[in-house]
Amino acid sequence: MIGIELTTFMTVPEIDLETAVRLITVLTGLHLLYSSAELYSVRRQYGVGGFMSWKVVSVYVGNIRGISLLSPLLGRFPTLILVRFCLGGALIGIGALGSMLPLYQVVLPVAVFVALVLDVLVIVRHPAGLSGAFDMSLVTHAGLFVATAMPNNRTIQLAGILFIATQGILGYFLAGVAKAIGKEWRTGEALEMVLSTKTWGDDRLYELIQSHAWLKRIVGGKIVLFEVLFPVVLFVDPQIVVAIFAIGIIFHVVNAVVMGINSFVIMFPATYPAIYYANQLIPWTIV
Amino acid sequence: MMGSIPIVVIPVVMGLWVLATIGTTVETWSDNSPLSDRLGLLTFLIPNWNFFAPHPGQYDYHLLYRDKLSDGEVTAWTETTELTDTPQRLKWLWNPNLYPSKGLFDAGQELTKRLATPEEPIDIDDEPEESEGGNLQPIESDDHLLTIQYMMILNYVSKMDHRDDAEKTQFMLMRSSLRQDDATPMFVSNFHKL
Repeated sequence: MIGIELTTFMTVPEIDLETAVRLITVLTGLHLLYSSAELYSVRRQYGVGGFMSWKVVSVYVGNIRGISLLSPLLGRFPTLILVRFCLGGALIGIGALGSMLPLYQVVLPVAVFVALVLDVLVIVRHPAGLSGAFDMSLVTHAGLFVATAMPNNRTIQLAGILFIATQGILGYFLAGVAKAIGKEWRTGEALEMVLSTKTWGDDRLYELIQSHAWLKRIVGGKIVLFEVLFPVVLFVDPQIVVAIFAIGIIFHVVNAVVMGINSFVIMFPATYPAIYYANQLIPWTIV
Repeated sequence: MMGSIPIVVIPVVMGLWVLATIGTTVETWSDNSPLSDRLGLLTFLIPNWNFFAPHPGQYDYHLLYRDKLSDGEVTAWTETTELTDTPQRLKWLWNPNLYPSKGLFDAGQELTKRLATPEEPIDIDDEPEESEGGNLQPIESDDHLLTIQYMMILNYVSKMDHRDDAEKTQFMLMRSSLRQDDATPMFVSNFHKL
């Protein structure tokens, strides 16, 4: 009886493509919102005497055809960031309301396309300093645009959603393989190295793993294992998929608390609805 | 017929995008980047999924500058902490200074890498050798002078507070970590007119 109740409790719903699209839209909107707020708060760095001054950056990217036309816009980067902030709010609203919104099928791809263009501009404007969350935002908006631009064409929609799912999985898998081939990660030294910095580290945790050497080997090994094995998410029962996603979210929250990399907390899970949908397309499971 | 073109083209483009992602990420594990070189401007669109791997970031970079005055005197080094001050509390929620801080880290890594030559490769994880007499000498090669990283830092320090009689400025990148007692100089620029 208890077993039956537990099974009922643990049952996870299937999601359709429309729901996946709306969830991704809300999450990428959230990322645009708060990352724009953060970028705007350091707007001095984009001014004449700032570290990211357009006067300097434009020498290197301003001559690129297409980008040169956008030069006046890129020169007023804080304004562009404000637009990006507002668009984030709009995407959250569009995703939340869905087809209740008039002209939803037109408004959504247009908003996502603008978000995609802004992602490209933000990346072009930063020769240094951006995290992988901005790359993930770009590929997610690209996939989302493809998935929404032709709502009556299922093949195109699938291409867009599966693109997001693939990039989401590669984001873990390739990083895991890269760590596995690095000597520092195999020995656990990498964890100690990162924690010993002020930028990404934490002095109390650094002292903790220094006094308990086994801890760095175990934690480092578990991180590599989780990332390398992440692709199995496609081939397991949906309940296990949810458990893997929960581990992923905890992983990103811990990284945010310890290392300050807060932008990953939303942007990587933003690909989860696409991965979940891709899992449903595979007719067999290994577990 | 025309309607079927997107059904073929779009999945192919998405597939190539995924392959380019794998290719450019994998090639960063070695010293060569033939694919990125071929992709040119398209690299703006290709993500790189190496996070703290294969070699993790293990140092904080510090930016210092000093001036040469009109009488030839050179001022003491001044550290500017505006770029590198990252909050320790609530950084999981609000951490905007990570952008300039990581920017300086990325620039420092790139500039240090550029000092390497095929004959004298520099392992950025190695400790730098002290120059004769313990004095800091500007690097002799000038390949780095026109790089975007060098220009970004030079522009930034040029706009910092300087004495009225300062004619030229010079910057230095140092790095430190809790594993070291002292910060280590990694890169010293030439003097440049203010």
